[in-house]
Amino acid sequence: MIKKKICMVGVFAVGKTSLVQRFVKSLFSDKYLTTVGVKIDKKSLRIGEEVVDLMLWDLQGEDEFQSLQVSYLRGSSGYFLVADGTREWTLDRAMTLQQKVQQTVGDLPFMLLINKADLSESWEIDEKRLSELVETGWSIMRTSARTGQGVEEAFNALAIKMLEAQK
Amino acid sequence: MNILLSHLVNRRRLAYLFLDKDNNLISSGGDLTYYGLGTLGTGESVEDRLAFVQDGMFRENETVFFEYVSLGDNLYANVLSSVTPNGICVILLDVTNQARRIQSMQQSGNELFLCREQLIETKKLLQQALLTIRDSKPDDKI
Ligand SMILES: Nc1nc2c(ncn2[C@@H]2O[C@H](COP(=O)(O)OP(=O)(O)O)[C@@H](O)[C@H]2O)c(=O)[nH]1
Ligand SMILES: [Mg+2]
Repeated sequence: MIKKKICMVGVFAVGKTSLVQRFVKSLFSDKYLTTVGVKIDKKSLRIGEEVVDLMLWDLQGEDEFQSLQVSYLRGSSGYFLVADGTREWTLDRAMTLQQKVQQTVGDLPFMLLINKADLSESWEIDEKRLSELVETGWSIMRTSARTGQGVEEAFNALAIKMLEAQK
Repeated sequence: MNILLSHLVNRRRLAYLFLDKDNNLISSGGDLTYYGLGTLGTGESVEDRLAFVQDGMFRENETVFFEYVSLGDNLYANVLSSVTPNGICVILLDVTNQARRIQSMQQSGNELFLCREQLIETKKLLQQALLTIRDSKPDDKI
């Protein structure tokens, strides 16, 4: 059995907790409940012949009170950077956070999730900016924790990347 | 030392575990029951019981410190760990009350922030609407 730790990284209220809850429990809630510290959930995935236990570390988002505590990143095999598609500045911060994570844990597989894809009427993210990032080698997916769009796919894709990185 | 320890166990729910390199329990002490670990047996893997315990988490000469780890409904712990000659030592300390206070403070702060963001957004929309109305001729239909 393979066990892989994934961290959810991003500004507060972008949907990190909601994405984990959608993926693990197929649930969504409109109510916003700030995460303190870390909450760890587990879900097993079958990737080809292998069963991978994903340990999902839902970290407290960066906010006015607290910046990312890098100690929680220890032992990660990969991470999601999460931004809110209706708040462009959360993408700027996700990019800064990526540098911070990289400095701490080095080159690990990661994916950028632009969440809240269901709120397309208030979408703020410049698509050109995303395609530029893709050109530099970033993997990006649009997700919605509310509808479930892209969520399973994102976790699957990162799991595959992590397994490949270990080879 | 003993007085300090018993104080920490009684007041702060201190619990400690010694693990071998495969994260199996060697010995333990303190208020394990509080963390739902009362039935943990010697030789048993701790990984299934404490989600943060995993392969490669603890390394020689490096202390691990996690400030607020959610260990169940309404249960938060400080986690401190380091590799000792007797095995990997993991210490848990109850910080549920602190976490609760921080949660409610942060919740209000973040909600306020989101509210402000929405106000700015509404203001932008209103300004756009105002411009549209001003620039339209009186007989234009909006
Ligand atoms: N419409 C919509 N709302 C979402 C989505 N994901 C999260 N939210 C909402 O955004 C708020 C913050 O979500 P949360 O998961 O707590 O964010 P976190 O701080 O990054 O963990 C909550 O009110 C959620 O209901 C989504 O995909 N679509
Ligand atoms: Mg959260």
